[in-house]
Amino acid sequence: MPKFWTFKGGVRLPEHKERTAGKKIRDLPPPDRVIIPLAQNAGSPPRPVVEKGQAVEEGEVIASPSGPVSSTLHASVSGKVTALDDFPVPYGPPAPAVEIETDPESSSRRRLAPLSDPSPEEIRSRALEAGVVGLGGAGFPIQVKLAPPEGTEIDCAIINAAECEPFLTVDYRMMLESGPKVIDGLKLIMKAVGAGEGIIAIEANKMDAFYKLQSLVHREKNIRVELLQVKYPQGGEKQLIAALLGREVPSGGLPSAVGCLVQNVATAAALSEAVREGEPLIERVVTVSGPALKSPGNFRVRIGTPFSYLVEAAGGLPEGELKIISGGPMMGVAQAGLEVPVVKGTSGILVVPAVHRERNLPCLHCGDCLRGCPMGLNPGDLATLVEKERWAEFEEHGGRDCIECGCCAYSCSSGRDLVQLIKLGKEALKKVKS
Amino acid sequence: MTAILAAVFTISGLGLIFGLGLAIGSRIFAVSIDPRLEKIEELLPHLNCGACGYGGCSDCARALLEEEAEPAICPVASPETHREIAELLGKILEEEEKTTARIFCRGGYDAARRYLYEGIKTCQAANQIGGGVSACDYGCLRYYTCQKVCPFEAIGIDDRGNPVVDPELCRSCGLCVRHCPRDLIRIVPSKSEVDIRCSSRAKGKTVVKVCAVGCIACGKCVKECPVEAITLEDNLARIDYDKCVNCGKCIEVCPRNIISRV
Repeated sequence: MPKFWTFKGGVRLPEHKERTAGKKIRDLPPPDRVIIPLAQNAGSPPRPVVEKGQAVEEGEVIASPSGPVSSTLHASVSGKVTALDDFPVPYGPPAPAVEIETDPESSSRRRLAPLSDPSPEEIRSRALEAGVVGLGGAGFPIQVKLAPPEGTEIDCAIINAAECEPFLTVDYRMMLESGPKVIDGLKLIMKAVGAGEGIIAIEANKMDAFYKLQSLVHREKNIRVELLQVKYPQGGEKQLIAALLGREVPSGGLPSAVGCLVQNVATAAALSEAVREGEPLIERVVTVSGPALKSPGNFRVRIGTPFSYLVEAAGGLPEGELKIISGGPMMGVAQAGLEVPVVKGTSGILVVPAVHRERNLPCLHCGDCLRGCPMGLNPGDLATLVEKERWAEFEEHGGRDCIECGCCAYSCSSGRDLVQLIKLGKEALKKVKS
Repeated sequence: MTAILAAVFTISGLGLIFGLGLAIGSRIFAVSIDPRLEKIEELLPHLNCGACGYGGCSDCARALLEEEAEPAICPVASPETHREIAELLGKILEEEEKTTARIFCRGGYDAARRYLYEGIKTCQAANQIGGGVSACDYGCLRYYTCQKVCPFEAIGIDDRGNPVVDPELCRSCGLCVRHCPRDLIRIVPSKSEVDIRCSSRAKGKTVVKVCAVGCIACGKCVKECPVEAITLEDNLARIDYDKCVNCGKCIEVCPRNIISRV
């Protein structure tokens, strides 16, 4: 009987994964035009190297790294650059992006040279060249993660296959359909950082993926597959490390501080493709789901594909008042419209009916948010400090450590917008400090 | 009887000793306070608004006394008070101009909304999702955080849903300026009466789509202005207050009714 690992705090959520879990990933043809925002990675956005009117080929570099923590962007379709302007993006106010009109005639794709036995340095530079960033949402450039700061030693590489957000099934489908690529990606990561141990951590609601991967790694001595309890946010980096290894990442620190490196399933597969096949990161799998959609599913689309194209593929926008979320229901961001493009960090698009309920009632001091918080913070208290603009105390009480998982707001019986308030507080704190 | 007397003498004796101790101690360890500090504190407005950048009025008074801050640092106090503070500190103050905050958006109910917003009712929060709840990328979000933070109740809402600053009540402390996530509020000289109340740097075509009153950069006001005080920059007309003579000719020609007299 395998052991089910977990962490302190968190909440148990209805999963809603059945809508898309059984559906194979469908490849969608490129849309008429793509909008590729420059800022798709954490750190500094890459600098564009194309001009308006220029013809580009699929896989051609359109923006190159602009700093130590940056990435590369590639044209996801062949065609002509029609605009370099501000466009609506799924993660914030309109931001600079490259618009490419697809040329339906062209079918060529530029690739990098495949590497069969790369050195750690080659893996890192390939990750940068191919524009591989964390595909889980934050978009942290992987070559930076693969180069741990001096003096730290990484002994354990973890593939985060928890996929604890309800509705999303991207990682689950990837494991079933491209399991060998995921394991190859993990081996490359282990080689790049010199980690002696590799763990693939799966939540216990994905048993078939667990058995599938276990059958693939049973000959590998230093790779194991572990089962995790079904609890949110099991896939949080810090929660995952605490659950598997019992190590606590210090406040404000990175997993490398405790000798760990965590990568998401899709990222590992993308790294494997970039190294072995020379494929730049120009497409990704997106779960399109929601109770109101006719044919939800998992779709492989080009980066920059508008949401509307994906929703159309999933049966079109249903009638009535709707809420569209980019990402999962817990950490995703509500969208103002369907014209926003899929970026490297877009794991899902949810279309749910709008629910109106009374919100932001006075705090009852029941403590449910405290019990739910996986970081051991006091969310109700932090939110009140934000409302009162007491930034120094907010910082003192650990406001910065919040991972914005949403457990507190989910468990709040007064319906307070706790995460949003804490998010605002974190932003205000950044401003006050600068 | 003796027991009572003993108690009385012991207690009063102890009281006398402690009293003497305190009296002597207060002389020896006395902290000399500059008498000006109290006077400066008296002069400051006692609002503790923090607009000066110090932690309340007493801290500001200390900074003034230690010459960390300029006599006119308090934006809330009147020019007379500034002069009195300068006198106390033995400094000469230059003549200053009276200023007021002004809100550079008149979209109000005439500007479209992007979506239904049900989150936290502050402008900062409403500006986070999808580029802000207001369809105009530059316009007022209408959650009136500026009104809520104003310590002088100088900001009201007009019948078109626009926040408006009352120049009589405004002491240009700048709290509203700092709280507006779209930088729509600026401190301007009080003597300027005519202003273009739009901040949209979007192209005219976009403005027409999202707002019934926004500046489309047609340039009519620029041509009409007799003193060349208006310039077009980034699809937006701006008035140079040093040149403007408050004649109001631009108000009549503006096809979008965005120029008004305060």
